[in-house]
Amino acid sequence: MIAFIALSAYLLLLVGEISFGQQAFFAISAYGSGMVTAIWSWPFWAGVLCGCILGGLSAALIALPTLRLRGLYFSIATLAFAEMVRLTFEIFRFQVEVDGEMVGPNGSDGFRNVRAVYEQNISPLDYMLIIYALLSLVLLGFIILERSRLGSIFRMVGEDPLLTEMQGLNATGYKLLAATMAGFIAGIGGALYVHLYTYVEPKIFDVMLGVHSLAYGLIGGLGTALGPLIGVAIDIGLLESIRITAGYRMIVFGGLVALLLIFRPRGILDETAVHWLRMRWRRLRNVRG
Amino acid sequence: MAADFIQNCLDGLMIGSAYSLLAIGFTLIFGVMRRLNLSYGPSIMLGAFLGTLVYLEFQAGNIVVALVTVLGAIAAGIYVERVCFWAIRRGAAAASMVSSFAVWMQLEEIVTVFFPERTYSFPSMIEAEPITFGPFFLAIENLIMFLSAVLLTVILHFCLYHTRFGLALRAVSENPRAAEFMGINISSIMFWAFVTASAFGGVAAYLIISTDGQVTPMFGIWATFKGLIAMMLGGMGSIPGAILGGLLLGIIETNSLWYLGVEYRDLAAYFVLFMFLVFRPGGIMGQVSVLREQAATRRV
Amino acid sequence: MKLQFTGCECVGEGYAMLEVKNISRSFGGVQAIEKLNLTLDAGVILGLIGPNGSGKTTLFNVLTGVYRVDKGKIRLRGKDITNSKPKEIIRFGIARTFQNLRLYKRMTVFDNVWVAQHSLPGINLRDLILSNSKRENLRRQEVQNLLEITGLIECSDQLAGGLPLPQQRRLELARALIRSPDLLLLDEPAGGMTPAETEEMGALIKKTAVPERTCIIIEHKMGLLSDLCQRLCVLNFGKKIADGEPKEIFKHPDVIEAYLGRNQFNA
Repeated sequence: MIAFIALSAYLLLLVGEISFGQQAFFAISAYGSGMVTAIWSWPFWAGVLCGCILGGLSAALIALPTLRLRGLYFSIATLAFAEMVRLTFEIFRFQVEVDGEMVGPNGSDGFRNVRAVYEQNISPLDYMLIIYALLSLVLLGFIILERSRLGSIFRMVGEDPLLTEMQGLNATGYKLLAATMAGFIAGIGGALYVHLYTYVEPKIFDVMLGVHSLAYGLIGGLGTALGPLIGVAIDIGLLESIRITAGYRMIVFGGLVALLLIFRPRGILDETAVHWLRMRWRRLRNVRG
Repeated sequence: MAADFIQNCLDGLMIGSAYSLLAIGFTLIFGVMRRLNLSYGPSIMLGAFLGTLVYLEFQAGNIVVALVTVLGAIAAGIYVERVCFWAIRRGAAAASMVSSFAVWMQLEEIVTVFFPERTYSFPSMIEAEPITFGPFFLAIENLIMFLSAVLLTVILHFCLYHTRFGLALRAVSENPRAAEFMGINISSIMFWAFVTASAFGGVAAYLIISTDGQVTPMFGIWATFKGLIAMMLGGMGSIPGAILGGLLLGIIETNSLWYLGVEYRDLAAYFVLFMFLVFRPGGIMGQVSVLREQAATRRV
Repeated sequence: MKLQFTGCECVGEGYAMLEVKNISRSFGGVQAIEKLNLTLDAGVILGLIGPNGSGKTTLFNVLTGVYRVDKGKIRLRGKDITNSKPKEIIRFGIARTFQNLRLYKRMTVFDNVWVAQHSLPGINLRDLILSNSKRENLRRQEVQNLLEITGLIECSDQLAGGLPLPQQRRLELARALIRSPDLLLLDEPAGGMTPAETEEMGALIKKTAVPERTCIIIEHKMGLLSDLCQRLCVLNFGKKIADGEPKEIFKHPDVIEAYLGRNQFNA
C-alpha cells in the first residue's frame, strides 16, 4: 500500500514538483473512509471511493495556493501541510456511539475498530486480491498515460514549464491536475490501509513515510510508473534478504541509494534507460518480422 | 497576563537563539548549494552522541565534550557533503536531497546501533539558580545559550564581511558560475561552508542538549525540522533572516505551549510556516514572489 | 507548405502583419529596447541584425510574451497583442525558435514535434488520453511528413538530447512549423554551424519556412540573410539604426560603425 503513496509522489515528480507530503492525503482518505464505514455504516466500496475523493479534493485545495511557489518552497509547503495534518489528527476526536460502543478517531490513540471488512464479509484473501487489482488498475492508468498526449504534457511541464507555456499549454493548470490525481491515488492506499488493519493512528503518517515514498520513485526511476514500484521492491527485498544483519539495513540501503544517485540521478529506470529498452524491444519485434 | 506573555517571549528568545544557530547552518548550506540538506540534524546528532560517549566512558569535562561534539558534527558533515552534494552534478537537486535523506537514515541507524539505549545523559552546562528580575526569571543555561549564539553570530558576520573567505562564500551564494569565472574554487567553498555549518550545528547541539541534560536518537529529525522551519520563516538563504526566524520560532513555540497546550505547539509552528509560504514565501526578510520572467532570463 | 491542423486564430484583413509601435523595455538599469518602431507586411522576410546585446532576442521575447513591455504597443494583423501571455501567442499564429536551443531533451525527436500539437483547438478529452481516433492519426501523419521534409525522419526515434547540433536546430524549426504559423521568428537558426551546414539550413528555411509566410530572422551570418531576406533591420543598444534593403544596409555608415567601430577612414 505504500506503493500507492510512492506512485502519488511519482506523478508529482513527473510534473517537476517534489512533494514531501503525499502521506497527508493517505491519512485524510484513511480517516475519511474509515469514518464513513465505521460510524455511518456505509458499504465498503462507497467508503473507499469517498476516501479517494477526499484525497483528491484536499490535494486540489492545497495545490491551489502552493503551486505558484517556486520548487523548493513548494516542497517545504507540502511538508508543512503534511505535518499539520498529522498533528491535527493527533488532536482530532470524533466519537459516536454505534451499537453500544464508542467508535471514531480518538486523537493520538488513533482510530480503531474499522471493521467494515469483516462485517461485510470480505475475506483476507479477497482483500489481497482487491489491493493487487486496484494497484494494477492504477498501473494500467499510468501506462495509458505514458502514451497519451496528457502524459507527455505532464513530462513537458516537468522538464521545462516555460517552453510548455509557449506551446500554448497552461503549465500550472496541468500541475494542478496532476496534484489532484496524485491525491486521489494516495487516497486509494489510505482507504485500503485502514480497512485492512482495522485501525490507524497519526504516528504512521510522519515525514519519514513521505520522504520514503518520494525516494522510491527517485531510486527506481522516473522514466516509468514501474520505477517507484521497483523502489518499493528494493526496500522490502533488502529488508528480507538482510535479515541476519537486520540492524544494519538502513545503513546499507542508505549507502546504496546515495551511491546510486551519484551515477543515476533520475533513478535506475530513468527516461534514457526506458527509451533504450523500448528501442531494443522494437528492434526485436522488427527482426521477428 | 502580560507578564506571562513577556516571560514566554523571553524564554522563546532563549530557545530561539539555538534555533537560530541551526537555521544559520541550514542557510549556509542552502545559500551555497541551493539544495536542502536533510542530514543536517542527524550529522550534528552524531557529534552529540560522540560527546556523550567521551562523557560516559572517559568522564570528560564540559569543554572536551563540547569540542568532541563540534568535531564529530564536522566529521559527519564532511561525509554528507562529499557523498550527497559534491558528487552529484549541479542540475539534479532532487537527487541530492534524496541522497541526503538516505544518509540521514544511515546516520540515524549508526547511532541506534552503537547506542542502543533510549536516552543518554549529557553533562549539564552549569548548575545554578535562575536569575530573577522583576516578575521574570531567566535560567542561566538559557542565558549562556543566548549569549553564545550572539557571539557566534558576530563572529560569523565578521567572517562573512571582513574576510576573503566570507567574500568568496557570498559570491558563490549569489552566482556560482560568475564566481567560478573569477577563479573561486567552488568545491572548496562548498566544503568549507559545510564545515562552518556543521560547526554551528555542533555548538547548537551542545548548547541545547546540555541544557536538557540528555540526548536521544530523535534529536536528529528534531534539529533538522527546527532549523528548516526557522530558516524558512526568516527567508531562505538569508543569514539575518535565519536569526530572526529562529527567534520568531522560539517565541511562537513557547507562547503556543503556554496558551494552547503541548499538542498545539508544533501545529502552531507549522501553521505559521504554511501561512508564510502562501502569503510571503520570502519570509521575513525576502522578496515576495518569483515572476515568470526570472525563469525565462535563465535560458532564453 | 501549409498544414491542415494549425489552430491559429485568424484576425483582421487589410492590416500589416506586424506593427511594433514605440516599445521600450529595460532590465534594472539597462535599456534593452528603446522606442522601437517596426512595421512588417505579410509575406516579407525580415532579417534582424545588430551586435550582441543590441536587443534582438529581447524583441523576440517581447513579441512572444515572455517579457512585458514597459511602454508601447504590438499589433498582429490589427489585433493588439501587447503583453499577452506566452500560452496565447501560439494561437495567434506566432512561433519561434531559440538562440540557445530549447528542446525537450528527455523526449524523442518525434515527440518534440508531436507535443506542439497538444494545444490544438480540435483536441478533445478522448484525444488527450487515447490518441487513436482518425484525426489523431492524421495529426501524427502530419508530424511524420514534416520530419521527412526537414530531413529528420531517420532520427525520429532518438532522444533529442543526443542529437548533433544541426539536427537539433532542424528540430526546433520543425517544431515551430508544425502549427503553420503566420509569423515565424527564427533566432540564429544557423548558430554554431559550419559553412556547409549553414548552407543546408538556409536551403531548408527557403524551402519550408519562407513560402507563404512572414518571417523575422535573427542572424549574424550575412550570407544567409542576403539570400533569404528582402529587408534588413539593424538594432544597436536597443534602438533601430537602419531599415531597408540588404544592399543599402551593408553600406550604411551607422551599421558599419556599430559592428566595426569608428576609425579615421570611417568617421
